[in-house]
Amino acid sequence: MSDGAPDFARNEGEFGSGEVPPEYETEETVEEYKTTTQRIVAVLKRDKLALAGAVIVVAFVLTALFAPYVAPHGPEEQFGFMQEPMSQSTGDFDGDGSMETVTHYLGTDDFGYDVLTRIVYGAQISLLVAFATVAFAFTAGTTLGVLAGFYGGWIDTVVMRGVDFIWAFPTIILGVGVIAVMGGLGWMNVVVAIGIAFVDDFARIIRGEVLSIREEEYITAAKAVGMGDGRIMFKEMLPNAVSPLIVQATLMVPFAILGEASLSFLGLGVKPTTPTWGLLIAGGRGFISQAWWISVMPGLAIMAVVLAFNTLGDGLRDAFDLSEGEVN
Amino acid sequence: MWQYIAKRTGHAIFVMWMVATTVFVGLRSVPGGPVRAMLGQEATPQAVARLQADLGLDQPLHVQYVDWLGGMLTGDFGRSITSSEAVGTLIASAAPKTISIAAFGVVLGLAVAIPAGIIGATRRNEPADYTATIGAFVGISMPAFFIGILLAIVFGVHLGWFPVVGYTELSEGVVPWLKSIVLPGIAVGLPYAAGVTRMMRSSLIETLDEQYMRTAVAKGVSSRVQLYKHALQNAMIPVVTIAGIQLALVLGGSVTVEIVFGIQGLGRLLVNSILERNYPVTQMTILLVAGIFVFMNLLVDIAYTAIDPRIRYGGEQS
Amino acid sequence: MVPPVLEVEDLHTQFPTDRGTVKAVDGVDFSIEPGEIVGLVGESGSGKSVLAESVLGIVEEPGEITGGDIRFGGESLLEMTESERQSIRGGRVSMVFQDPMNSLNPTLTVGEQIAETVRLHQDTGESVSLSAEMKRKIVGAAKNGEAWRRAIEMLETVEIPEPEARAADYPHQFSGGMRQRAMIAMALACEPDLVVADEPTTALDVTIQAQILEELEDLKDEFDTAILLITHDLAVVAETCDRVNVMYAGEIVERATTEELFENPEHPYTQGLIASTPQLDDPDESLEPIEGNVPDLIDIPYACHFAPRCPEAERECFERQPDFRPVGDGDHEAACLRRGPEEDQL
Repeated sequence: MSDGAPDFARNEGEFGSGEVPPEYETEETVEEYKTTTQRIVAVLKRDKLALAGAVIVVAFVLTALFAPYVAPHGPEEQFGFMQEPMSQSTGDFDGDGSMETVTHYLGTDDFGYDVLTRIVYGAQISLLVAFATVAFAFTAGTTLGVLAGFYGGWIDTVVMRGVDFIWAFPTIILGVGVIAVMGGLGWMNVVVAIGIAFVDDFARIIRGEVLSIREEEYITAAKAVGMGDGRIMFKEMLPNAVSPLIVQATLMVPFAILGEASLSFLGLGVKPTTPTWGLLIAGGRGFISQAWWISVMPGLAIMAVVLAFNTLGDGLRDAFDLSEGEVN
Repeated sequence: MWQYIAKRTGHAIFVMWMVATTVFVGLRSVPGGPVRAMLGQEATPQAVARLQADLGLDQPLHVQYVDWLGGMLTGDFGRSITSSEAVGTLIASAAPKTISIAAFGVVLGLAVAIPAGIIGATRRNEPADYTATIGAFVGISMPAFFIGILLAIVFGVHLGWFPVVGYTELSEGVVPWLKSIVLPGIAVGLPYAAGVTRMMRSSLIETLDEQYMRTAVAKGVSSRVQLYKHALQNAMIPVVTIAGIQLALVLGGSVTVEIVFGIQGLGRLLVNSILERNYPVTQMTILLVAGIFVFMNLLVDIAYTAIDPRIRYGGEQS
Repeated sequence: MVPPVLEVEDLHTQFPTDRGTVKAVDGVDFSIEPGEIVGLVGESGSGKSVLAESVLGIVEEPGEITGGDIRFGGESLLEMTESERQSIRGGRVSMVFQDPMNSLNPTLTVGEQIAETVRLHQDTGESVSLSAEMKRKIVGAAKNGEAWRRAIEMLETVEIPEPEARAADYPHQFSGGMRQRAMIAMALACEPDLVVADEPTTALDVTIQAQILEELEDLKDEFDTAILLITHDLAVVAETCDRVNVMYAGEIVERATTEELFENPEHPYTQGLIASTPQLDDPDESLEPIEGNVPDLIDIPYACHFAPRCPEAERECFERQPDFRPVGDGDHEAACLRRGPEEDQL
């Protein structure tokens, strides 16, 4: 046997290579391919925090959409001043001639407005502004990301560096500066002011996708295949980008809410007539010694919603199997 | 290493120049022109023209730019529209307040976050970990000003331990000074600490999983020595990055927190100047804040040289 | 009679997972005499790395040793306390890992990493308390201390030029080959009785591989250390080992001296392995790959783990556990029902 290659398969066995007697057949377990919806459902079942977050987010959206129906009273309906939470007012409030007793679960403020009602109406504005901000950041970010990825070179460097710096810079100060330049209050200015800070996250994701199809294009060019592949790549690129974009948007909403609240608190945000949560907190600041609930309740609302979006976003990130580096 | 530091410093200067230019362009692009915005719609053309001349805004743009840059380099920062005080003076009195609070917040934040993160990583899923994680979650889900309000209510109004309004100068005594910055400091420091804790924890968990930790185990190194001598420095590298990035939160937070506690710091100055259309003050304040931000990031870059030997000493020598 | 340096008896190491228990080491016996180089050959998935970790006692959770014994110089490792094992680890048994790039700590100097082992396992008079170590980390080791000098000595022994200067360097300043040499220096610093080398050359360039292997052999002689050389590369085994164990799917299937194994492989897996390796002296011979894949180590239901891929498999191979039969010359054994003396063959 010393001539080099030894012999293999000296004898013929009953079962050759790869053959197994039937009772020993093992099934190959392959991980099931789950659709996006299935994965989301699976995560929600597993991660209790994400589930709680999802519930609160849904409640928040519904409250915002149907505020007039959810709110116990009108936003400008007046009761007694600065009543404590769980206190009651008696009076004829619906003009039907009989006296009712209503409970102010979260108390009333210095104008006599019911705090719970104000918070419910405040949800509308907060939701609107937050979503608009994310939409703005998405649009601007996608445009910049496509430009940077497509043209490459110094355009890429300049755009991405600029966008990076803006992202790193303190959001509130940036927001304040933008408001200064735009010269006025109003929710649209807020949207731009806060949205600018978040352009970077979207720009990165889109730019990444553009860069990867560019590379694939070169490969296909080398193989000289025609238009059909271009459409396939388009179909493959978009689904890849969709999940980080969804997670990014979900995680961005809480920041937008916080940003708008800060700007409104400073008096530089939405016009003072609409009761956003930030304004409500600002309004109660002068009374923290006598009526702490005026400021604290809206603040707790902010906290609950922000936490909810964060846990939901983390859960979604899990469901789509993205690393923390890909989505900030 | 010195090459690296020089590069980072040059980069910082470049960034500052870009920011200054952006601020310059930005504030001159206010709709209708800054002067009209300052004086309001009813202003007479003569008043507008006079103010424009006063502020040098009637000159061609590039002349303004050179004047402005030159002025800054020589210490002339312009005058406030509303009070005619030198902007430099206003800023000089406001800045120490903001810096004290920010510094306190950062120091306290780090002092809490790093041990909390280490505990979280080494005692995963134990009560201590849960407490730290929950604390971190709460810290990032509330705006800094709200944290400030809560603190003011509990520790200021109800317990009366700390003042709720105002800032006491250091010259009036260390303890009063400290007492006046504790609550605002915690308010800006808590969101900061939250971010750093999360990173410390996850970075340490990842580090403990590295190959070289297995080598340490195979050498018979005790677990405590493994943690502090072998793992910690490596785990700190991404933490330094986050600690730098999150400084933005501290700066941003102090703007609103100063309003809560009635402190006449840079935040107050900035907001008021915007509401008053006091552009000379606005532009210098933003520039200063940007300067602090860029400088802090430069410090972080330099901190890397201490922490990561790969930056301190170059590459391979065969 | 000097006891073998290492005796592994019916070792079982398992990992509980969601899908079932992975039996990475499923009843392994082998031994190593003082001063030998013994090879352990197997593909990825054979369990050879887990076996190495079991010997060192560093199997990662949730894995654990569930049966059998490991005796080191006659003493049972499994009956010791963890701190007793800790004092042996790095001192009397040490390990050289596969990837020198990631196996050295980037924030400690190379010299310190070697000196550390010396301090832990030899009587240098230098403290190893936490505070002493932290001080050392910040300020640097005592350059005239015995441990540091020993580190420099070791670097010299593994032929790293300018050892005194290099000891103060960090791993990223070393090239790949030098890093591996440093790892070897670290493993040999306390003159262990046994070095477990897990794929020591796989991550290196071919030319450096040869150098490292040669050095391992020289050092073995110089320090009178036994080496357990774990690899998937038959060439490495042929080059350096005195004896070889072939491992497949958690079990050892054949043992022999190196010469005997290559000249006269008996187990179908070994034969297949050699047949699928390009032979330099017969380049035109076509390669015969072994069909199929390494099995999933979870609850293998049949007896001989190689049976599904074995061209000689009979029904009984799936049902009866193959025991070791003497084959060929010398202490050559193969665990196959179709080998051994005529009367025992299937």
